[in-house]
Amino acid sequence: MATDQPRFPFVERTLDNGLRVVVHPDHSAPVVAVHVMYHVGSKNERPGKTGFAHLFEHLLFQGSEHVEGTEHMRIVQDAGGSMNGSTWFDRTNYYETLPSNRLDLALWLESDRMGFFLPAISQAKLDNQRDVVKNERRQSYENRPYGLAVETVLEATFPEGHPYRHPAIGYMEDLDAATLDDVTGFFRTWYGPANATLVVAGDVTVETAVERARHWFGDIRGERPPAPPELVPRPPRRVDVRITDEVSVPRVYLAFPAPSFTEPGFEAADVLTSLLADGRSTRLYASLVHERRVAADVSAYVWPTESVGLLWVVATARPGVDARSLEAEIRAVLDGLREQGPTARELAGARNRSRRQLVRQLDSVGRRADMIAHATVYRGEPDYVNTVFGRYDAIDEAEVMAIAGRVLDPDDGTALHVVPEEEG
Amino acid sequence: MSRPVRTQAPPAGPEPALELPKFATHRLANGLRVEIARTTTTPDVAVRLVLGAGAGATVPERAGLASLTCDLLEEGADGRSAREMAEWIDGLGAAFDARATYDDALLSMHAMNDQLDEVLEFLAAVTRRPDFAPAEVSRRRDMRLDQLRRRGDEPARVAGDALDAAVFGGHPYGAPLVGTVESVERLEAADLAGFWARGARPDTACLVICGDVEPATVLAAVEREFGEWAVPPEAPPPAAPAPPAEAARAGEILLFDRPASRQTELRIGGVGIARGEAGEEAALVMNAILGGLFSSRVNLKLREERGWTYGARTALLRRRRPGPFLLRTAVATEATAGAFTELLAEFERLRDEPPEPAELELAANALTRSLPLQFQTASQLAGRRAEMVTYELPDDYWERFPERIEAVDSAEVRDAARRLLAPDGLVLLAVGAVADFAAELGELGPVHVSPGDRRT
Repeated sequence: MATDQPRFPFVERTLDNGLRVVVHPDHSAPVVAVHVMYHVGSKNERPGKTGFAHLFEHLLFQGSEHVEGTEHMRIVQDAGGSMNGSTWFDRTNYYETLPSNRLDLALWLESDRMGFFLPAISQAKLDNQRDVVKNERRQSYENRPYGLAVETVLEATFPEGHPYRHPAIGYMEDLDAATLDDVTGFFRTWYGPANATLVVAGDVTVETAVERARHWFGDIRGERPPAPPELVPRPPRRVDVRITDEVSVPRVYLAFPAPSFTEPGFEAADVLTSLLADGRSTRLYASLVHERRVAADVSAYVWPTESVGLLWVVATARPGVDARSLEAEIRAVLDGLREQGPTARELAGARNRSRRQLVRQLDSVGRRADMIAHATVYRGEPDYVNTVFGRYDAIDEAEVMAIAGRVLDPDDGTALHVVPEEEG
Repeated sequence: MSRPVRTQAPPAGPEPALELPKFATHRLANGLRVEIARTTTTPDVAVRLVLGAGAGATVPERAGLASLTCDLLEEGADGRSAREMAEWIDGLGAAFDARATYDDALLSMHAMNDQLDEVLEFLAAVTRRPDFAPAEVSRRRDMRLDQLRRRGDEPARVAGDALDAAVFGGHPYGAPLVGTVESVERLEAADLAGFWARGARPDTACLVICGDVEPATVLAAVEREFGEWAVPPEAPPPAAPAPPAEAARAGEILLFDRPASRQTELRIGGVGIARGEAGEEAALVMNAILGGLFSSRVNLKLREERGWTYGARTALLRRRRPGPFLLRTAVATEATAGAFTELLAEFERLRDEPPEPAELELAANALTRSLPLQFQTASQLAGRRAEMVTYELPDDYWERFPERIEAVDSAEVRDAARRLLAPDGLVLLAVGAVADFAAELGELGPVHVSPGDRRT
C-alpha cells in the first residue's frame, strides 16, 4: 500500500480514583475534544426499567451542584463549542469540542456532573425529561416508517433475560416507571470515576492535559462498578417475524449473530459487509438493485457491540415485489458468496473502502476521541486507532470465507419482514 | 496541587486566532478556476467540483431535472458502462457523490492521497463525457419514482415538501429538488443531456482540492484532465427568478391528516433572506436567539419548560435568492395547538421587545467562536471553500465574520424579527391526527385540511 498510514500519538494514565485518561495531542487546528465514556448502557437496566440509562443521560444535561439547570448547553455554546451525549447497549458517552482555550471549561463541566450530580436532581427535572424522551421515542421510532423494526429484531433474536433484548430508547410504560430513587441508585452504581474513561484530543500538550485532568477529576470519589451482567446463552436458531407498518412497500431485515467489537473477526465481518453492499459494484447492489431490480436499496453493516455482535442486511422492496421473494433473492447472493468466496478484485476494493472510511472516521479530533474512547472501554486498547489499519490490510480471502461461512448461516439469526398494513 | 474552584466557570485563555489554510487560486485557459490547499493531518484528499447546473431556474413542471441529471453521471461515461464505472470507483475505495442544490451542481470526492490522479480522471469522465444512455436514464428514473412514491410514508417529508410549496408556490424553490412523480415521469435522456451540456462548463466552474497532496503535481493533473474541456457555444443557464415577497399561502393554517399519527410534525415558514443580502448578520443573530441553538427561546420553551417535544429549531436557508425561514418541530399530538400558541407568542415577543444583552451575546459568541470547529478537516475546508466560490465571498470573509456579527445591536435584531416573523407573512402547517387539534387551531386563523396519508 503506497499511502502512509496515519499515526496518532497518545498517552494513557489511570488516576488514583480509577479514572482512565487518554490524551491525544494534535495541533493542526486550535480546537480540543473532551469525551467521557461511562461503561454502562441499556444492557445494565433492570427488568421493567428499560430506557433508563438513556433517560439518565438526559438528566446529566440538567445541571449539577455548580452548574444550574440547562446552563451546561448555554455555556458550551457561548464558548463556541458543540456537544452531545448518546446511550447504547454497553456505554453512555458525553462529549464536546471547543476552541482550545476552553479545555478547562469542558473539564469543569464534565467533572461537576461526575462528582456533584446528585444535589441537583429533582422530580420536576425527571418528569420533564421523561416527557422529552417519550417524544424522542415518538419522533425517531414510532412515527417514522420502519421505525420499530430494530426493536422487533432484538426481541426475536435474544432470549428472555438477555441484556440485548430491548432497545436503548426503552418502552413507554417503563419510562413511566422511572423514579428519583432509580436516578440516585443508578448514579452511585455506575457513574463513579473507576467506571469512566476520559479522552482529551486536540490542541493541548500531553503534560497540560494530564495535569488538568488530575486537577479537575482527581478528588472525585465513587464506588467500584459491579460485575458485568451475565449473558443468557443464546442458542443458534432461525426466527422469522412479520410486522405491519404505515409504509407503501415491504422491507426485509436480516440480522445474523456476528463477532462483537471485542472479538477476533470483527474487522473481517466489517469487510464482509463492505464487500456485500458498500458501492454499486457490490454483489447485493449489483444483483438486487441494478440487474434484477427487485430492491430500491440495500445496505449491510455490523454493530460494534461489546458482547454479541449483529450483522445486518437490509433491503427495501420495489413496488410489486413481496418480502418473501426479496428475502430469497438476498439469501441467494449470500449463499453464492459463502460458496465461491470473493474475487481478489472484490476483496481489494472492500479493503480500500474500509481503509478510506477509517481515515474519514478519524479526520477530526472529536471523531478520533470517540474511537479512542470506544477502543479503550471495550477493548482496553487505545492504540486501536493506529493498529486498526494493519488489521484491515491483513484480511485475506480465507478469512473472509471463514467469517462468511460462520456468520451468514441460513439456520441462525432473525428475518423480519415489515409489510404495508393492507398486506398484513 | 491546588484544589479546583468549582463555584464558577474557569476563565478562558486567550482566544485562538482563526488561521485558515491558504488556497492558491489558478485559472486554466478555458476559464476553469482551480483552488488548492495542502493539509497534512491525515493522508487523504477532498475534492469539490462546483458547477453552474443547479435547480434554481427549473420550473416546477420539470422539478428534479438537475438532481436526476446528477444521478446519471456515474451510470456510464467515457466509454465505460455503468457497471464498469462502479467497479472503477469501488475498486479505488474512493467516494463519489453528485447532487444538485438550488444554486449549483456539486460533485464531491474523497480518497486516499495517493489516488488523486485516478480520482481526477474519474471526475473528468463523469463531468465531461457522461453517456446519458436512454436505458440507464430509464432505470434511474424508475428508481427515483420509487423513492418519490415512498416519500409520503414519512410525516417529516410530507411536512417539509408541503411547507416549501406553501411558501414559494410556483417558484422553483416551491418544488422538491428530487422532483415529483408528475415532473420526473416526463424527464427524458435528451432533457438531461441538454441540461448538463449547458450548465456543466469550465467558464463558470470551480474545482477545489484540499488534502495531503503536492499542489504543483495536483495542478499538472488538473491541467491534464480538464485543460481540453471546451466552453459550449450556448449561454449559461439563467439565474433563479426572484421569489415572492411573502409566503404564497401567508396567513393560512394548512393541516395534513394522518389519523394514525403518534405525533404532529409542525412547521411555520416564510420567505427568508438571500446569501449576502443587506441585514444578513442581524437576521443570523435573530435566528440564533429565536431558535438556531439548543439554548434558543423556542427549544427552551417547548422542550425544557413544557416537555412537548424532543427538539424545536428555526433556520434561515440562505441561497442566491431568499430561501425559506422555517421553524421545525415534532410535538405530542395533544400539545399541537398549545405549541402553535407558544411559538407565535415567542415570535411576537421578539418583534415587540429587543432581546436581552445576554441573549445577544450568546448568539454572537455561538456564531463566531465556533468558527475553528468548522475548519478542521480536509472535507470541511474543501466544502467551505466551495461555499465561498458559490456565493462569491471575499477571501477574508471568515476572518472578518466575527466583527460583522458583533456589530449587530438589539434594535437591529428586533427589526429583523419584524421583517422575517411578520404574522401576515407566515404560513402554519401541521401533519398529524387532525381531528385532535383542528378545532383549537381554528381559533388562530382559517384552517385548510388535506389528506396527508400516503394512500390518498
